[in-house]
Amino acid sequence: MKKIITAALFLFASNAAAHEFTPTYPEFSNSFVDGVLVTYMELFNRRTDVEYYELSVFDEEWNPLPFATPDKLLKINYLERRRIELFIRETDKDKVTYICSMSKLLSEDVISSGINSRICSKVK
Amino acid sequence: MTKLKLYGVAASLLALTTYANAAEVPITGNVASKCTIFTDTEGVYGNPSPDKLSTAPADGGVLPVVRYDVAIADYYKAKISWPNNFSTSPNLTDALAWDGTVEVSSTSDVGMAGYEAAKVEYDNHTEYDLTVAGSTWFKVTSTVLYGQGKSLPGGTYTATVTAECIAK
Repeated sequence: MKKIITAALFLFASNAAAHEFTPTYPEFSNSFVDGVLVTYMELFNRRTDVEYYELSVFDEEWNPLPFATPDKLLKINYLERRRIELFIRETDKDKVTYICSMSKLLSEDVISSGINSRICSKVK
Repeated sequence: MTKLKLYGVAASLLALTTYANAAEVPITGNVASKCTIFTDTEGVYGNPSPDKLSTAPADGGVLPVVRYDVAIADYYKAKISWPNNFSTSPNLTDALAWDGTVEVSSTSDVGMAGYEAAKVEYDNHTEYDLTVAGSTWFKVTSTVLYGQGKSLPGGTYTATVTAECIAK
């Protein structure tokens, strides 16, 4: 019981800011353009210190792959949830392994040692 | 309409009303696998000697703390990297020697006790396999030494820790 109370106090007392990127395992489907596949990701910004997130797509060896989204650098306000349409070439379908979102800190917002967060979903 | 039919209709209405009153409103939920990275504490560099900056409390610094929440066990790994360059600093003319460590500082589940022993360290990165659902707090120590007995020039120094959550 003590452990549960301690954990609950930790969870509610900390002034935490969070970054969330889902789904864990996205799937691609046909888009309205021939030869182009689409998937939908969701980004939730609960970081008060971050307004910008960058998207990237990698293969299994973490080499960057081309992709298209309405914005590669997203401005997402605090507590805003954004659904993102992400397109890849059908020829890259078997290469795409990771879809990542990374927080972009503005230099004036970093006091001394800032924290960049990056969450990567995996295409199986 | 005969009396018999009226009784029949009334009975049906009563039955329906009773059914409506007794209906249960279902609440459904779904816990999807997801990883959330929380920035609990932003670190601060202390300056214990003219040529050193450190986030260690013993050196007057504040350790950056990152919390990882995973909804379902064994779907993600955490990769935390201590900084190996400054994001902003005054003009530096000599070499910098960076060092750092990442450690588990707190956990929400006893099953996470093995995380520290099982971590994998390489370069400035530390990886943890998040095999248990729940919250894990990681603290990051970062130190940097400047030149050979040289003083760091006055000014503002900032560096960033990178906390990654990668689906397995």
